[in-house]
Amino acid sequence: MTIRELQIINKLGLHARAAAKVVHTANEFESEVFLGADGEEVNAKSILGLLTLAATQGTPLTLRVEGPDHAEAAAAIEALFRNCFGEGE
Amino acid sequence: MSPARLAGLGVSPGIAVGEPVVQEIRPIVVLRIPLPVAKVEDEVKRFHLAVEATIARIIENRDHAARQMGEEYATIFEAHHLIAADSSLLDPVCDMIRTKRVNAEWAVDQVVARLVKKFEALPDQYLAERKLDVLDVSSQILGTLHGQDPSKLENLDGPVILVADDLLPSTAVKLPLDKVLAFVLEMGGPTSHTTIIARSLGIPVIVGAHGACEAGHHSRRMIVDAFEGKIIFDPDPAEEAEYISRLNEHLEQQAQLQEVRTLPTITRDGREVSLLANIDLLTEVDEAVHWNVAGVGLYRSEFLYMQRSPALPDEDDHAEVYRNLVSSMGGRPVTIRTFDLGGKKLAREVTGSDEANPVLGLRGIRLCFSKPDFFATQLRGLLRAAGEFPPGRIRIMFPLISCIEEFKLAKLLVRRLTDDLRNEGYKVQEHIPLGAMVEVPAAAVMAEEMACEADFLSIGTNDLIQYSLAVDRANELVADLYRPTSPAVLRLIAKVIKAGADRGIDVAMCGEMASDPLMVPLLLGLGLKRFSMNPLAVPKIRSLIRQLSAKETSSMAKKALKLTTAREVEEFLLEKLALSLAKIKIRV
Repeated sequence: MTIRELQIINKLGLHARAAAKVVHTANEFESEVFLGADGEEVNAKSILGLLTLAATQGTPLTLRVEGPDHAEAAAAIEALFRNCFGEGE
Repeated sequence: MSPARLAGLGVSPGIAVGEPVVQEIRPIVVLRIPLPVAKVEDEVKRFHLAVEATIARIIENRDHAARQMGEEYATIFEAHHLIAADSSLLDPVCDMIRTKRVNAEWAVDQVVARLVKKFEALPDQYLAERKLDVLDVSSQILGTLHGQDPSKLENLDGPVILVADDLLPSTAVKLPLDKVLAFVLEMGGPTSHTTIIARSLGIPVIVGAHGACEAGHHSRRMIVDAFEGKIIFDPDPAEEAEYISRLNEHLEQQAQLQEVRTLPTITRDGREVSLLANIDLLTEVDEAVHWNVAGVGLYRSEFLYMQRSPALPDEDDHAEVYRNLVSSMGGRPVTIRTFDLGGKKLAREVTGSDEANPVLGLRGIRLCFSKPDFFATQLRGLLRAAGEFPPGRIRIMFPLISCIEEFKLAKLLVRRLTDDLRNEGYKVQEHIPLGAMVEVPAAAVMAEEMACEADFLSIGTNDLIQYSLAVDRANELVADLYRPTSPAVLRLIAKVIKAGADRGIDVAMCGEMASDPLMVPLLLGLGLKRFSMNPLAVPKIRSLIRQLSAKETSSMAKKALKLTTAREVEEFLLEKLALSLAKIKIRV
C-alpha cells in the first residue's frame, strides 16, 4: 500500500476535465486508488466520486493505493497533480 | 373541432407546413415494480445491457461531435462516458435491484436522485451543475430501458417538423437536418445550441411552445410560422393552403435575395454602403462570407469565454481564434470587441460576485480594467495576431465606454503592451485601429470628443436605447416603452454619426437597429455608411438599400429628427417607406 499527501495547485480545482484525467490514469492500473479530503474518501476510478469531493485549489488530499502495482499507480497520480492535470495552471 | 393553436417565440425565421414527429426526452414516470426472486438476476443483466448500449451511443456521439464541430465539443461526451461506466452509479443500482428486488428503472431513478442531491449540496456552483451531466446520462439509460430508440430521429424518413420538449446536444448533433422542416421546442432559448445551428441553415425554430409535444402527439399535420411564433395543429384545408402560398412567397423572396449575393451595396443614386457581419461563433463566418460582407463589424469575443467556461482562454488561445477569424474572412477587416461580460452576460468565473444592479455595474470596459491580467491576456493575444497580418486587418473595439478617460486608459494599455511585445521579439502593428462602442448616453453626448480620441466609433443600439430610456425590454411590465424610434435616441445617434463625419473617422452601427428595415433608410439618411448585423440579415438589407436614394432618405431624416414622439416617427417612416419595403416584400 502507498499513501501520499497531495495538493491541488491548479486554479480551477478538481473540475470535470481534471477529474476525467485522474479516472483515466487510475484505470490504467490494477490497484485500487482512493483519494480522501476532509475525512471523506472516494474511489479515484469514479468521476462522480471525485467531483463530489469538491476539491478546490489548495485542498490537501490523501492518496491511498492498494494492490500489486501500487507504487507505479501512486507515482502516476502524483505526477498528474504536480503538472496541474496537463492544463498549464 | 377547430384546430389547436399554440404560441411561442420565433427565434429562427421561416414558415413550414408538414407532418410532426414528437421527441420527448423527459423520462416517463418511473414506477416501482416488485420482482420475484427468480427474476432479479435477469433484471441486473437487463440493466447492464442498457448501460452498454448507452455507452456505445455516447462514443458514437463523441466521434460525431468531434468530426462535425471539433474536439472541443467532444469533451462533454467523454465525461458522459465516464459517468455511464462509473461504479458509483452502477454498483448501487445493482445492489438495489438485488436487495430491494425492484425493477432497474426504479433503482436508477433512486440512485440518481441521491447523486443529484449530493451534487446540489456542493458549495461550488460549477460542480453543482454537473448534476445535469448525471441527468443526461441517466435519462439515456432510462430511455434505453424503456425501449426508446433515439435512432428514430437519426433515421427520419421524410421531411418532418420536429416537436420536442428540449433537444440535448447529444441529440442535436446527430439529426439529419436536411430532413427537418422546422423545430418546435417547449424549452430552449434564442441562444441554445440547436437554435444557432438551425439559424445558420435557415431552418425555422419556435421555442417556448408549452404543450407542443402533447398537441403534436395527436396531430397529423401542422403549420409553423416562426415569423409570428404561431403553431397550428391539424389546420383546416383553407388555412393550410394560405400558409403554403405564404411559404412559397417566402421561398421566392429567399431566391430573390440570393440574386443580390454578389451585387454591390449601393443606393439608386450611387452612395456606397458597407454591410458588415456580427459574429459570435466562428461557425457563422461561412455565412458572412457567403453573403459577401465587407468585413466583421463586431466579433463578440466573450463567446470564447462562455464556450471554454470554466477554463479561461490563455494568450495563445486568443491569438489562434483571432488568427483563424481573420484568415477565414479572406482579407476583409475584422473588428474585435474585447470581452463584454457582466451585466446579464454573467460569467461567474470572471466577475466572481453578485451585483444588485448588474446592468449598471461592473461590466464591459469596467470589468476589463478591474481584471488587468485577464484583460492583458486578451489584448496581447489580439496584438500578436494583428502583427501577423497587414495593417488594418484587426481593429480593436472597447465596450461600454462611458467617459473619455476610460478610452484614453485603454489606449495607453494597448501602447504599453505593444511595446512589451515588440521587446519580446513579436511582430506588432505600430498603429492598430482602436475604437469605442457608443452605447452609454454619456458617450453619445460627448461624441465630438470621443471622435478626437478614437480611430472609429460603433453605435450599440440595444444598450443605448435601454440606458437612454431607462427601460429593460426583457421586463414585460415596461417592454412597450422600449422604442427604437424614440426621438431622444435618434438625436443621440444623429450626433454620433455627425461627429464621426466631421472628424473623418468611421462610424458603424452594430445593434439590432442596423438590420431593422424600417430604421435602415433613416440611418442612411442620417449619413451612416457602415451597418453591422447578423449575416442572415445581409441580403434583405442589401436589397432594401439598392431600392433607396441617399438624397431622398437624407431629406426624410431631416424631417424625422423634428418629430416629437416615437409614434410620430414610426408612422412617418411607415408612410414614407411603404413603397420601398413592398418592393422587396418586407412586412413590417
